[in-house]
Amino acid sequence: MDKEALIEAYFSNRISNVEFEQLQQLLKEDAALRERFYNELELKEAIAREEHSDLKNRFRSLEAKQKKRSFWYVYAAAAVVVLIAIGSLLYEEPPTTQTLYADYFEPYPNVVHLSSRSQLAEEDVAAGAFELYETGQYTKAATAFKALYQATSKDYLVFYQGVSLLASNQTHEGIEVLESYPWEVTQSDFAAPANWYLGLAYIKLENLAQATHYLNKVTQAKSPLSQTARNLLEQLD
Amino acid sequence: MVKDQFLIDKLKQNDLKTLDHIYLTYKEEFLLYARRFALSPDDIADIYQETIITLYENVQNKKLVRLTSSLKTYLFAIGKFKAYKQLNHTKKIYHDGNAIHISEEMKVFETDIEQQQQAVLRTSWRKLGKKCQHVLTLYYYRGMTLDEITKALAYSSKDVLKSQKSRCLKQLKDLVRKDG
Repeated sequence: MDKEALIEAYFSNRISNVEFEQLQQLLKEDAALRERFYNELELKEAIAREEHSDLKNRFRSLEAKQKKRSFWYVYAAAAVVVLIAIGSLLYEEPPTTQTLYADYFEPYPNVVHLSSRSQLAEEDVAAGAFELYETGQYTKAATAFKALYQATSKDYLVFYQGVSLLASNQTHEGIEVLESYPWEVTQSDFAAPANWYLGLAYIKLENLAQATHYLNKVTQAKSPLSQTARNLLEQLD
Repeated sequence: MVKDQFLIDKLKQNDLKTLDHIYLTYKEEFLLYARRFALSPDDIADIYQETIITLYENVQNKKLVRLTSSLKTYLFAIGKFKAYKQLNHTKKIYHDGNAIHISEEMKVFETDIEQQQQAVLRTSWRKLGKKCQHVLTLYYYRGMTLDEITKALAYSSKDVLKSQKSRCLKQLKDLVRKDG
């Protein structure tokens, strides 16, 4: 095969193993061919980069979406944790709420996988706190989230600190933490879930006025929890 | 394997949802695997994106038609070459002190991406006529042979196309000289 044909075979992805070796050999020996080929490779790369930018943007928005969604699973599952932890106070009698638990309980194992999804160093540390959280070590988790928040100021850390406190029966402390962050002003993704847990916590304290106040906010949010909050409000009536 | 080939077939039909799915499926595992390389998390994330794009391109330009290994093995082989390239651990041929990196496993030659040179080249590329861009894209990026392009673009003969392609390359070279 002549040089031209080898190069064409290379760029059209039809080169055999033997021809690939031949081309390597020619490139080593023939400086003129090497120069030409080098320029062609650079051109291929430039064209590729031009064509890539759309895909790169696609992956970026995919990552952003994924991140949001993974948080949703986490706090939907966190809802389960607290429903289990403090829900028995709310729903001791009616059998329908038993079914509700069963419905909620299923997504929980997903979370273990999703919340270990991390690539940034700081998220790696957060993964440790989430591990405590997922294994039910809520008091330790609360401490870990608090320390992380002091270092990085991420809203979700306050949220999980609060939820961890509620789950470990430190209801007053949990409320205090959850009320310490301006969820709505900052348009946090955790605004609705935080209000949801505040609502639940106040129910536990039998402060139904405050509970209704927070749950009403949840019903007005565009949140998967809105309907659940409506149901809960109906049961409070 | 059957499932992996199914995904490849979907990619052939330009199904970008499948590309998203593949991207998300192997990401975690790839990032874990790539920790063995002395590269920053940003570099590794970048390599992963490039790897998925290469997979997509290889399917589109028919370099990959049938998988002979699992999709994961295939992806990781691409990613490994990209990581090795970054770390300068590849087999290479030098041209004027510039490296051409070689992967015999993937049958690939790649230059170092010299950012400034690439920037000039891309600026010039955008100034090149649409007709030239089209011909060169089909040849260098879409992996079409000269015969296929002659037919697709209705050139009277392969020789006419060849001289057109040479003219385009020369125009680009002149633009680069002016821009650079």
